[in-house]
Amino acid sequence: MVFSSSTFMFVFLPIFFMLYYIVPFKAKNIVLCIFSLVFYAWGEPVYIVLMVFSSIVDYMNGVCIEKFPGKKIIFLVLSVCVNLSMLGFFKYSTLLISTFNDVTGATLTVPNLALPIGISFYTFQTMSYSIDVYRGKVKTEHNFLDFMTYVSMFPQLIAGPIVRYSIVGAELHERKIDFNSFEAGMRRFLIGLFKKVLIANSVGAVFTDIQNVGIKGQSALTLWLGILAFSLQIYFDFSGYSDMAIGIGRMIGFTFPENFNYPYIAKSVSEFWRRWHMSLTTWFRDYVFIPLGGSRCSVGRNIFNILVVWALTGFWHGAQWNFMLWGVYFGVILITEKYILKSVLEKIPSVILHIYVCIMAMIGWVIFSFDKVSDIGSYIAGMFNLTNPVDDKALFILGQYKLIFVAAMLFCTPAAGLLIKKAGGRYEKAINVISPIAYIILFIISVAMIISESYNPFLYFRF
Amino acid sequence: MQKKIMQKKIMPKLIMPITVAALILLVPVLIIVLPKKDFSENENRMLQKVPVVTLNNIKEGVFSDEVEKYVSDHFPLRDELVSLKCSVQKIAGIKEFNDVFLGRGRLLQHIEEPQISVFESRINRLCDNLEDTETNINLMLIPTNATVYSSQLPKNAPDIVDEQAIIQDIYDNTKCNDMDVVKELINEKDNHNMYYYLDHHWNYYGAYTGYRLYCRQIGIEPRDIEEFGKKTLTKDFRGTLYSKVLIKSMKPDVIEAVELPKSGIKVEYVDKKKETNDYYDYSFLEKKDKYSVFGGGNQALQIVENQKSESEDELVIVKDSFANCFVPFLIYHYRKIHIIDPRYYMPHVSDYVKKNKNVKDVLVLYNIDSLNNNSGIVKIK
Repeated sequence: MVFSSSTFMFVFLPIFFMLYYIVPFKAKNIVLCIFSLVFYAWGEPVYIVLMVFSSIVDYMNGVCIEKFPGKKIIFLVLSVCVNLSMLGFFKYSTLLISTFNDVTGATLTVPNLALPIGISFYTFQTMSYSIDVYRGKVKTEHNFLDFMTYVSMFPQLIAGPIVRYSIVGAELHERKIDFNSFEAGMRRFLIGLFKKVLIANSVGAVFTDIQNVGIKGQSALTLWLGILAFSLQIYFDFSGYSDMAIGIGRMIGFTFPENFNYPYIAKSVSEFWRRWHMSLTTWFRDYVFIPLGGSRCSVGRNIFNILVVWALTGFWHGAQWNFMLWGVYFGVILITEKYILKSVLEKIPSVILHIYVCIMAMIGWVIFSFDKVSDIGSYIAGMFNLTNPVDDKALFILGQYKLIFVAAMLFCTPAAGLLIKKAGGRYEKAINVISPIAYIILFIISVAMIISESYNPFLYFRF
Repeated sequence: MQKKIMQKKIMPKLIMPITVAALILLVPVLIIVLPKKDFSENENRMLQKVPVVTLNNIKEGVFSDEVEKYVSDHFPLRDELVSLKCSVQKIAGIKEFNDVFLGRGRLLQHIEEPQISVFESRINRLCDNLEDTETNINLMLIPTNATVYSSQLPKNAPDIVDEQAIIQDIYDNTKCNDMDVVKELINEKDNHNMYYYLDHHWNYYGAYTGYRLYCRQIGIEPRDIEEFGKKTLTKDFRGTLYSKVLIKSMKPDVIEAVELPKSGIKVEYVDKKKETNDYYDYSFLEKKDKYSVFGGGNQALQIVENQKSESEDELVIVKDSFANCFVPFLIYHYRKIHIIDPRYYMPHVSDYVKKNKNVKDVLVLYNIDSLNNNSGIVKIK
């Protein structure tokens, strides 16, 4: 189930919240766990077995690491192996086997597996739990229900943020649920909904259209507008989803980590990645980069570490080689920034740095969006094709979307928030009146957008 | 005092969460309680029925899909919400919805490049099959409103099909008599409105323009438009293009029609085994699909007879829905007009023509977009 569906908003949420708030505290985790399992199983019930299996394995690992401290390494290895093989088999086996066939000419049967929803998130969460217990950073969770609740918790289950046990462990047993956090959580949820439905879905149409029609023959401006639209779409989609997760978490008493911090205002690509999908980059930093030796080692080893981490980060995003290429692309930029450009970047005016980061990110999104290297090549070539710079289509897109683009780009910066804060003192009364009305109107428009997706006028001819 | 300050601070915080929570709680109740529609006239489709819980449905994900569709399809004020969404998008600057342009003053169709080869070969086949008869075979292809009113397209509207060139191509590659109505419609477009504003069909004046050209080309004297006695059937027609855009504030169309002779008209719905004395089926004026007032919509085979006609000749029209409002103009020039829609009519058109000895003319009349999505075309021969 996704948050921006009518089933979630108007069937799942009302029933869940009513029960969750009514039952006594002791039963809240049971309600949360059951609803999370329903949420997960909705539409694809089979793979729930996998998630429960992963939970049982890491629950036992946690208990065993505590019981047999001398042999704790065994259970750590077990946890990593089980989780990575699950991820490897269900997410990557199709790609690996078909690539093997292509390279060697073998004819192994390529498995046709649907990707279990959220597997990339929950395997990382359970793995980090076992590693943290092994490292003594968190205490073992003895209550299986609470552990299962942690793994399956529906707000962050299918699109993050990656919530480590160390962050919510205490709240699993003791948390405050009051009107203030309900109100703040709902506001956060709605902001996420607006980002996803009003902005991401609106600009998304531009790039989808180019993907459907094909790259060939498109003018340079169309391709730039297309990738601009995609850059905005993926940011508002993903960060909106994180906002919704954090908001629901807050409404039910949990504090999830922040996942985005205005990435497009960064002044270097390394800063971009400290602001984008933060729960993932810190995960890779703590569980891969630092164990590999981090940056406290030779230059050569450090470069190797960065490339490995970024190849894996890229590959985590999807089972296609272009995602790995995308990761390596950023790895190379980060290395360049660290060892070559560092002193140069400090001297360049920040306007140029912003443009540099945005262009690097946009070219990155081209690599991200096409799984064929030839498509990536022709897209980037087309962006700089001066023989066909502008056509009607580009101007038509620009004419239709200029307002939406400008608004979306504005919301990529903290400007709107700062403005409201600044005005807050002097115009508090006005803001107190306007703000709730604005939320309600935008909520109704968002619902209209969601419902309209089901509006499919069949061909106008009466058959 | 303290309490009052507290209230003042909390009050504005209460409004939003309570309203939103109330809406979220109210909607499922309303969905259950409110009466439900089975059919969406705007979309021309059946709405989702109550989902059935079976083990298999749940396992296959059918149940969850149907719940999502059910909630969306029966959402309170659904049409109003869709209209709200389109209005918001229009304000934001969007100019195209579901392949319909928001033109200056009207909605315009955005069609795909038509595939013409099948149509050409079917028409030539028909001509071959009728070669040894005396019948006169004519072809009239009607452009979309975007070609006639191209000046009203939004600025820089991209990928517009050159319908005039395509129609000319088809005329060049087929053996029958061409009736180049595109030029006529473009010439007349500023004198009268040729198409509905919110529907893809041509209207009274567009059809008259087609009729006048037809008469001239086959050598009969067309009647003046004043002689037909125009009557207004409805002023509240929101057609097919409106259904795709659904912006409530747009002004509905007027449907005008030829005043038919008071007596001597017999309309036979052959497949439905029904006969009436009027070509217009006024029951459709109560429905969304008001254009079907013409001949009751598309029929497999319909025969319109004017018993008082001075002519003994008969005409066969092979057509799509554009012919429906065009037929009444020809009623004075033929004894019988046989109207065939190959989508629903199974036998060969040529056999039908051969069987009816009085048929002097055949007119194939299609709108150019039909070449893309009219299932009847492959059956013409």
